[in-house]
Amino acid sequence: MPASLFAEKPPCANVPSPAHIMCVEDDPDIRAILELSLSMIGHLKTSLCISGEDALAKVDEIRPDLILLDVMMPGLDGIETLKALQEHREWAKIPVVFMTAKAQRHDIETYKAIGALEVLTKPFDPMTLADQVKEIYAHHFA
Amino acid sequence: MVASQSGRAVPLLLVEDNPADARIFQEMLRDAGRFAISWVKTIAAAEASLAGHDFALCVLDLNLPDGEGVQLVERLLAHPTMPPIVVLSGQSQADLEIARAAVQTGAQDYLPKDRLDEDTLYRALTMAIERHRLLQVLGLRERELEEAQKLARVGDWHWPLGVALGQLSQEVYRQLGVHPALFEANFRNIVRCLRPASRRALCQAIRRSMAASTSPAANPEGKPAIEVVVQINQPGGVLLDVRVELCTRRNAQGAVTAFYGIAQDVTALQAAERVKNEFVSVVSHELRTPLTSILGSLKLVLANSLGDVPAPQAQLLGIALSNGERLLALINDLLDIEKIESGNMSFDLKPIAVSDLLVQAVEQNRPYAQQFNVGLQMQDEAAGAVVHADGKRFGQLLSNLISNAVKFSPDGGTVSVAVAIEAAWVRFSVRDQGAGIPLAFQSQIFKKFAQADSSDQRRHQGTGLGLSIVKLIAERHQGVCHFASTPGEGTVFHVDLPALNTDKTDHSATCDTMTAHAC
Repeated sequence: MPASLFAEKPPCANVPSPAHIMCVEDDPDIRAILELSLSMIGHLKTSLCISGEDALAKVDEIRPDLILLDVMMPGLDGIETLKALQEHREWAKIPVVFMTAKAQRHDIETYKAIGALEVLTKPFDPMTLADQVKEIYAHHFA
Repeated sequence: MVASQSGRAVPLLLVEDNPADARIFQEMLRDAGRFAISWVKTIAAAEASLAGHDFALCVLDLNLPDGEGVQLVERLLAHPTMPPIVVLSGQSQADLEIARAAVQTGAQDYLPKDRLDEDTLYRALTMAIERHRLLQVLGLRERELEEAQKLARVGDWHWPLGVALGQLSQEVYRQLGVHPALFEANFRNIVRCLRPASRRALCQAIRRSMAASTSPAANPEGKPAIEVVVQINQPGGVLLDVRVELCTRRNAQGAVTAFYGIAQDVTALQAAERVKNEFVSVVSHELRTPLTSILGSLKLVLANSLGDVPAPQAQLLGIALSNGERLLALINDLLDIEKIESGNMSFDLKPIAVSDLLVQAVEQNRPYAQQFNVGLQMQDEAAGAVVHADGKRFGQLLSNLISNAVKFSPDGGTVSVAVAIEAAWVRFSVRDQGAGIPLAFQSQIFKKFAQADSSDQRRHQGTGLGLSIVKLIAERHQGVCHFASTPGEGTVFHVDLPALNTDKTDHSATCDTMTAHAC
């Protein structure tokens, strides 16, 4: 495995970039791909959560710059998790990007209406996912 | 005729109180030798005779000792085995008026006694028998048709332009939930039976059917029928989904003279369709989740993210990746079809310059065409023209047509994408230099999973749904999709959309008078 792939890239001074991403995904295979995609390809610090409940339990500890949140999950689904985050004064400031296979036009409008910053569709391209996330983040804080 | 076909004498009941007239009548028919005449003198005797015999015809004098005039006809018509009636009348103006009234009441014909000769009498009687037989057959056929329409839940209707009331079959009245005798079938009343969204849809369909034949895009089968599914809100609150098919009848100048078509109760079909669509939607979403893992893993490995992949392994992984992507395309197409057909795909229609649509579609598909070593040529002959379109959806339509043309083009070929003004329409055209569509397959081209032969799908990596989606998206833009293809010389697909800003005749002007107040 080329060592250079794991090297942290220095953040660009002018463009805001998320230093730490929290991924909430119930499917273990997709979690593995997310980790490889974001950390190895995208050079982003990545923390994984297996459910909405897990995310709410760890968000204080992880203190992510952005949350990548699956929608269809057992227990607390993505929408309920987002609402729980919004009820907390500090957590409500964290931008949330939904990542889902259920992304028809009206679904996307619903997600954005309840406060999702953006919606990424599954299947995603692991080679460009990190760039997409960085772009969304930069656009949000620009 | 009955009389000559059977070879037997035709039983005839003569009701005449005047013996001289009765004798003349019998003598006139004697030579014809075809009638077995039973003679009675009163209406009471006639009724008694009808009870015991099966007559083919009744000849009735309108002036009898126990009754006179039209009431005699009415009395006999009330009899269950009543044969056709021909009345005998006097020659005065008053007698003739009574005889004509008798015909309006239900008699087959009237014969002035003083003008009778053998030929006239024989012809009138045999024609009365035959006409009666044909009316009975027609009545039977109408009842059979009515029964068949009820069973099939398909009614028919006909509406000459300029006529206030439409002609509806019994089944259409049933679908509307009204009784024919209590319902005035004018357009306003019919539209009132529909839910508001359906009223607009029906009016749009009428306008489209007016425009359909004036479009250069009359469908290849030459039946420019427009379909629309409307929802009827019956008086009892029952909702019915009804598929209406509209056709136009035109005169030699091409002007619409009448609308006609069918109305099919598809309530049960729609319910089954909704269950199917929901199933497809759920399954499709569930399939996307494992595909995320499969495609993601393959892409990471093939990008050498975990170390260099040897060429033979990379080739096989590449095959797995391309087929995974094909599966994903199929799922996406299935979802799109389900969304459009179930009405869940929203169309954000707004005025868009056609040149922008053209440039965007060509530039988006250029990299794809390059993979196949196919050139894309753009031809804009509609600069300034504007259409009502959803940019994203119409872009999808054009992309489907372009990618299809690219796949079927020879190596080094060119696909030309053009837009031009055709009368009141903007025509988008995508032309390839491929092998063309076999004649036998041309009528199937817009059907789901249509492929000219089973190897096509594998060879061209298509899902078999692309053109179905094109047609559905075109229709949601009030457009028409059609094609011309010569085997061996390539194919050109056209999509015609109504232009917003060209000089044109308003297609809908004629039907607007009918729809304006109702919609």
